[in-house]
Amino acid sequence: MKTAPDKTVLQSCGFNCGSRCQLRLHAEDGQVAWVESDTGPDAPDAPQMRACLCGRAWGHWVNSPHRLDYPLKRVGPRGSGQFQRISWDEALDEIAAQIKRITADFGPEAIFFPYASGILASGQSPLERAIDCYGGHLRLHSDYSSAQLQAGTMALFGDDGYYSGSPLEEAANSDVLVLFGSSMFATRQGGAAGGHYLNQLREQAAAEGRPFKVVSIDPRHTPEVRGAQDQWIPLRPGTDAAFVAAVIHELLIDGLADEELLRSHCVGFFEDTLPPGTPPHSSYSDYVLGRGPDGTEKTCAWAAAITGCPAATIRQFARTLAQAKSAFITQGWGPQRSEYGEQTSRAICLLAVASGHFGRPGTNSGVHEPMRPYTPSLPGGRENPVRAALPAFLWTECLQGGGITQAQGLRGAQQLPFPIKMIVNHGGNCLTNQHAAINATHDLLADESRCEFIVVCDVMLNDSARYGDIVLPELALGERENAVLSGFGDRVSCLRHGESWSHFTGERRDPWSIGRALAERLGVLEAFEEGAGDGDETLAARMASEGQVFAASSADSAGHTGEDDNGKAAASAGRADEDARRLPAPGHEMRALRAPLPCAYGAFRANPTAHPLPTPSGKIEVYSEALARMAQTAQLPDGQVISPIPAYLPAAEGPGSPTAERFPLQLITYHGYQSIHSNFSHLAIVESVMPHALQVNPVDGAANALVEGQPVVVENDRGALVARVHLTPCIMPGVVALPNGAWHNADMAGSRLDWGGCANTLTSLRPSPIARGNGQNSCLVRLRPLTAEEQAAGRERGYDC
Amino acid sequence: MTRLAIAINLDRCVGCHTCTMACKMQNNVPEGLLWNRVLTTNCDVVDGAEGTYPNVSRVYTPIACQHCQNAACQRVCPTGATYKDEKGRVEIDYEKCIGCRMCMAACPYNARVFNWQTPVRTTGANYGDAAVPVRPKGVAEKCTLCKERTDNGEEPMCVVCCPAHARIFGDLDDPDSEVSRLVRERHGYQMLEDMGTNPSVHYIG
Ligand code: SF4
Ligand code: SF4
Ligand code: SF4
Repeated sequence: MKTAPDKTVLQSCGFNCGSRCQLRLHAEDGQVAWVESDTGPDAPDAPQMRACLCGRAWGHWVNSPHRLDYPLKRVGPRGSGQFQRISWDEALDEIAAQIKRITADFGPEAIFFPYASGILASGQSPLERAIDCYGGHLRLHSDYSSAQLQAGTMALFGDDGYYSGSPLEEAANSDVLVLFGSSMFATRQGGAAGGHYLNQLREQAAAEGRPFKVVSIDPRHTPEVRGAQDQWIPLRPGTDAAFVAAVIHELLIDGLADEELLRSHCVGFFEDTLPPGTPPHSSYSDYVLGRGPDGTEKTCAWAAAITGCPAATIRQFARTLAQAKSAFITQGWGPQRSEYGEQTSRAICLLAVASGHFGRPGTNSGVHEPMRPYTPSLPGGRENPVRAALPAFLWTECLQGGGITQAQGLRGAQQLPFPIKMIVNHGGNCLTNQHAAINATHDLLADESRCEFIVVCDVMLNDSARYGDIVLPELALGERENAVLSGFGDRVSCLRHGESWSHFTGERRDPWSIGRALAERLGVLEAFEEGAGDGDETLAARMASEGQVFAASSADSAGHTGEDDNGKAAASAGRADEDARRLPAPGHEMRALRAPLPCAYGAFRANPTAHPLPTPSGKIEVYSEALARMAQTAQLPDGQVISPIPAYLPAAEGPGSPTAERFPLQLITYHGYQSIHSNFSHLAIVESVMPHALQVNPVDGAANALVEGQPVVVENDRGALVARVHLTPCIMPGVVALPNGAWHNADMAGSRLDWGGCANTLTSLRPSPIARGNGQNSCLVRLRPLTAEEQAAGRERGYDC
Repeated sequence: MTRLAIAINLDRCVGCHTCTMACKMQNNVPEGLLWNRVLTTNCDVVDGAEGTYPNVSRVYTPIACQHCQNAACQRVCPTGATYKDEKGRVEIDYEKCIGCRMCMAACPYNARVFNWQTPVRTTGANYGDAAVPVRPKGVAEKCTLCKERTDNGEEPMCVVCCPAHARIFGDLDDPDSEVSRLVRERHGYQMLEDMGTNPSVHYIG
């Protein structure tokens, strides 16, 4: 028998997950022995924040052999993973010297913080704060999550789509739920997230004898499709806009579209609402009715050939929408993560408008359900003086081209005349693993004449961390005292005061003290500490700022609702409950139901004059003049175009493209249960419970003579990976899918064959035209068996093949 | 009498495998072994589906020891190591287990696993609840209905962890318990009913 646990510690599963569930750690002999989750009160409308399988494996995660314990300095070529242990002083002195040198030689714009969300639960990176206090750094705009959707909805509705959608609660008034590439269960896994709520909605409707039908439009069959009334409509990835065009065509010719709404609230759906001076026949209705420049009528037969969805199914879906009392149309972020994701995302939103399922009870605007309170930054510090902002995905293009211009997506400056000279990667895996085209990206990073210095600060030696010239070991959120705002994708919101506990931590340091030590060396300590202090003061400042967000976003005891300001009030909606102003002591947390959010654009629909949208016209810009102008000036990759309307545009790598002759399968990734981005993916215990596998339709399996469980090479011109085959009718023929986040694992000096099965070994750096976002789901591949040589190499690595 | 049981609502289960992992963590189940697996009805692979594209259906079906009242494993156990306790749970006395694996052959649910080797835990630590005994090499193990928790009046880990609230725990001998009511009202059924094992675990949906 083991000894009784010393102590139960309250902590958070603090990743960039919509849930950030409660963890209760039992520390024994300085180790996490047992991880339990929420055991507090549980009610149907305020469910426990139960951790998913990942959170349950947190003890394995925190003790992972990949943990970083000591500062490291690179001794082999970049990316080789050859390091030598150094002291903190040596590491910090070197980083400070490089910041000074690069700022002096190239200016602060040469220092770049790639998109990273590992630190998100603790607010802004303190390293970034220190550098802001010194000279600043190149900014970035958008992210890897929903760049195309943000740009698409910005053109259509004038906001970035993060906060403007209807909450899932609105679906209690719906009879049809339409999911475009969205799985509530898999995307937000905690007990207070949307999946459990969807089950409740279903049961509630059944109990009341109301119809509630889920239609999932997705290349993959997801668990949301359950009962006989539900429907799976598979589409080829990247063709949603063609599907939508045909549905709208169908609604228009049958007189079932909401023409009044399309005329009164929209610009450019019909010819007579186009902005003055626009070329004739550029409206969306002319596009679908075959009067546009392409002269093609967007019939169901036309769309069937593109989407792979039978014409009859498209027609029947149009009927479903027309007959629905209130359809809640939503999209995940997978569909927009494609070359023309801006078209995809706006087309889905336009479907909500055109079908009339918009701005009234039980409807949504077509975007993802809104986020709730987010971790604020600490007060004080200095504002980054640099205005130039790079699209998050374009740093490799900047490295490649030796600079970047406004016509390529740079904002805040005309151009950057030099490549990025220094990268600070704090808590992220977007240098390689979660970026794209890992082999090409490796070559850019390995070339020290381009980026001269790379700093990594992380908890794990992940694939990106291998590229650090200096690697700093950080304490994980859950192993230090912290303030965590959780549930930003959930129905309940929680402010949690996590406790520290005694265990082996090597020389890991907490992020604030690392930033502070850097600020000291840069001579900006005073500015760094301003408003936030150090130690307990910093924690108190964080708790206070998070407490404000918590209180502002919680429903008060009187149940006040948020202001209906076209949904934009989401992050600040609701009035603070006096009780919620008290802050939790260590080991305690506060919970509240979140303030109810309004139906998306309800106020606008009711009175567009009194509540105009923040678009230039104040209306829904189906035809966007801003995009028409951008089309004139943008410098785009070969063959790429910008359309002012949400037309379907075929991707360079899509069904029917010339590349498909050699690489006939479309590869997509999805949010698997087994990881949160790339976190947890590398753990043997997770693999043993929920193995990574390549989903292949039996039709493609037979064509490639594959059997269940067999390792197969997935390849294209950018690289090759090994994955195990799972033959399943739950994926569309012609499409193969991998769960996202697997850890890249290749001999980069040799074959470069990725034994880890990281999809980004294969994905493309080609950015989308408007957001310049990451379009990983536009990716063509082929399958082949492993060669005898590869099998031998695999066995040497311990890969069963 | 008491007959502790779990009812699993398959209309709610989404195949997230949280119960698989949480069970492993609660009960210190060594690496490579699982007490609780999530299968899909009528499929022999993980995450399978019935039907042919695009007319598919998929029913996630978690399965662990069914705590049978007429337990095949108990009948064949030569040492009395496997026994039914006063709460209706089927348990193993690890001290008495001689590793003959007759029980594994007899169990129609494939619920038992065996420690062929000294149990491996990569973290180097026992990660289970401290109250759960550590099993040595050469013994069989399986779901205990979270004996240590249910002894204390707590619900089993797979019940309290389920993000979809698909599992309901209680006493089948108490007609007023939620589990009895559900099984009655929603026509709960037993897995492989015709084997005559009379499981306590029931499925709904
Ligand atoms: S990964 Fe997300 S859902 Fe899972 S336990 Fe952590 S916070 Fe909760
Ligand atoms: S935790 Fe619940 S929903 Fe998830 S697989 Fe287990 S029973 Fe099903
Ligand atoms: S009752 Fe306990 S031992 Fe049995 S499957 Fe559930 S968690 Fe595992």
